Amino acid sequence: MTILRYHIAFGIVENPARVLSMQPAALPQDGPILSPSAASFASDSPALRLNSAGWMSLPAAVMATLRTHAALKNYCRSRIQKKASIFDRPLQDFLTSYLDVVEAEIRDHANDLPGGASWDAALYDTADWFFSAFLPLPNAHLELTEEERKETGAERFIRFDVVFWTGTSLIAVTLERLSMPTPRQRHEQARFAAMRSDITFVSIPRKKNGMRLQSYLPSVCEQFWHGLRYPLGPYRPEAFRWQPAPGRLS
Amino acid sequence: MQGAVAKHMKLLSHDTMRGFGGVGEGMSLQIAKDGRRILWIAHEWAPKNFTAVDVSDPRTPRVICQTALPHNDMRSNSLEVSGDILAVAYQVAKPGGKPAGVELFDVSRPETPTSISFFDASGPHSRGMHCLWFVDGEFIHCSGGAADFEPTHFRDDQFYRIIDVRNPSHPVEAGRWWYPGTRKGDAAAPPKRVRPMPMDDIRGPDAFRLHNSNVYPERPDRAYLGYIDGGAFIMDISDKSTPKVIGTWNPHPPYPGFTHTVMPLLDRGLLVVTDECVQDEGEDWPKLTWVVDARKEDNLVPISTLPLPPVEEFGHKGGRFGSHNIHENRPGPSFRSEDYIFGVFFNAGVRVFDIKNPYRPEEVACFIPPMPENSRVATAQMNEIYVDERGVIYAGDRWSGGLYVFEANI
Repeated sequence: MTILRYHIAFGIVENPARVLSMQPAALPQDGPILSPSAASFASDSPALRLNSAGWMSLPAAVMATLRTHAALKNYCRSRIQKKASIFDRPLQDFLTSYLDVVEAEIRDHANDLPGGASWDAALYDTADWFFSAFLPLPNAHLELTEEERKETGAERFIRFDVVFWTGTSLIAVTLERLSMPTPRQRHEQARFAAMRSDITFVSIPRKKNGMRLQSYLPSVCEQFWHGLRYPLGPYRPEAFRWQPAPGRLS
Repeated sequence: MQGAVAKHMKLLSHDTMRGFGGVGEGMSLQIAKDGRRILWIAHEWAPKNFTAVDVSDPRTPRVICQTALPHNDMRSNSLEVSGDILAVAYQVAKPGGKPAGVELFDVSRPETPTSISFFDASGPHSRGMHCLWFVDGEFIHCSGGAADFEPTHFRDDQFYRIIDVRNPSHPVEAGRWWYPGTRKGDAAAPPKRVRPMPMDDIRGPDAFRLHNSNVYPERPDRAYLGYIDGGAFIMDISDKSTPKVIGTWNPHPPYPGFTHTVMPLLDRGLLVVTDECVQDEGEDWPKLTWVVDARKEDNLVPISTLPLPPVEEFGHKGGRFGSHNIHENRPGPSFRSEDYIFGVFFNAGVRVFDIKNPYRPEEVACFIPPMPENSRVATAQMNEIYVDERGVIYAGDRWSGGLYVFEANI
């Protein structure tokens, strides 16, 4: 089976090539590379989650001030929100909605969540599953291969509003905006979509007409804890930084 | 096209519109019932009123209708089409002249426009309508005078008027607002003039009157006004009978006046605000296009301007040089972008800017046609622009060049 590699610059990014050039050149064998503005991973890498190490700067001094679950969660939320430009309302709104959906999903399934009512409830709260939600990579610039560049006519990157890596699928989200793509962008996007059957492309309309976000992103929003034994927080020792993908649990 | 300067833009076609190639500030695209794309174009000067061009194939535009004004002391500078109704603004040369107002036409058969009604804005101190916005088929937002409006300065005769045309046979005023101090009897003192000389010329460079008034269906409770020397305004028009100021920003002075267009980028909390260059030979340089942070509507903050080519190269080439009209992201068969701004800059031609980083706009394409035949000045004076949803760019020369059709590789 071919292992695909994904290299993504994300967040407030003006020059994605420069962002990627500042990352380590090779993938480590035991996990993806995740920094506050770049992600490099392979198709057999574990999912990227809010508790994945590297994307969020959480100095020990700050951590010491975050004494409650709510404080840590709100800090995490604010770090995600800061990945969207102050001049990008649709993306800001999407990130808010997504994180709200994650919280609601946990509340709605509190009794079903692993450990929710068992002895280890003393160790963690069901609300801690928040950090197991899939990590949104906002304003994601996905690096193209040479062949893709030739086929699409695009330069080095193709942009999506948000990308998720679930451990089994790359989900590329485009938010419908007042802005239209230029003819060249339309062409590049169509050609790229035709070439990449491994990517799930999702377009979310501006007016959802009562449709919930889960309807557009079921595999991201619903039961994101599937296959995980317990929730991990975003701040933990190096040895516990990565959780295996669901398929590699046994 | 020999003598043209081009960067990432290609001229698809050029049409001098039967020898009447003076394009005003109105271009609006209609998809006719038979599927044809009809571009309606206002004229800068008499004798022509408006021209309809079939641009279904942008490589072979074809004039299908051209109408005449009733006399030569007037102009129809601005127009908009919404559905099958065309609204045309009539401005007369001197206050008191007629016809001054807005005429509505049924253009369901584009070759034979039929007058539906006329909204009279004439008066002893009025020159009628200069610029109008009509995108919803219901209300016209425009700069106009009125019979009952006596300005404190004769150049300040055109203010913000909202006209209800839900019954197109019987248009009625729905609301109005003017800059405080510009109407005789106002409690506020008249505004201090920015560039008052010459005092006796009604076409002088200084005015506190309205130019553009933009209202978008996504924010029907907001109007965005370019009030010439009064600057940019965001208005609350949730009650159209009493528009209220929410926010304002004015760089004039020290800048040399003439705020023209205020275009909101609603998904981004930004405004694009243009000045209009109104004097030849760089006399009123710099006339800029500003990017303004409008996330907080009552605290507008300018953050950048669109880069212009060097004044030493363009200032004395002939005619005007600087900002003017931009493609205004109107709904309909129109390209809507909050990342790219398409503008016309008189002798600096048609220019496209990438403002994805609004702090650092970049020019990504341009086209400067050569001086057209029979022009009054030594350069092309690109005056108006419209971009359709396919990305086809239509632009017009102010004096004689007529219609230019482009595509941009952006």
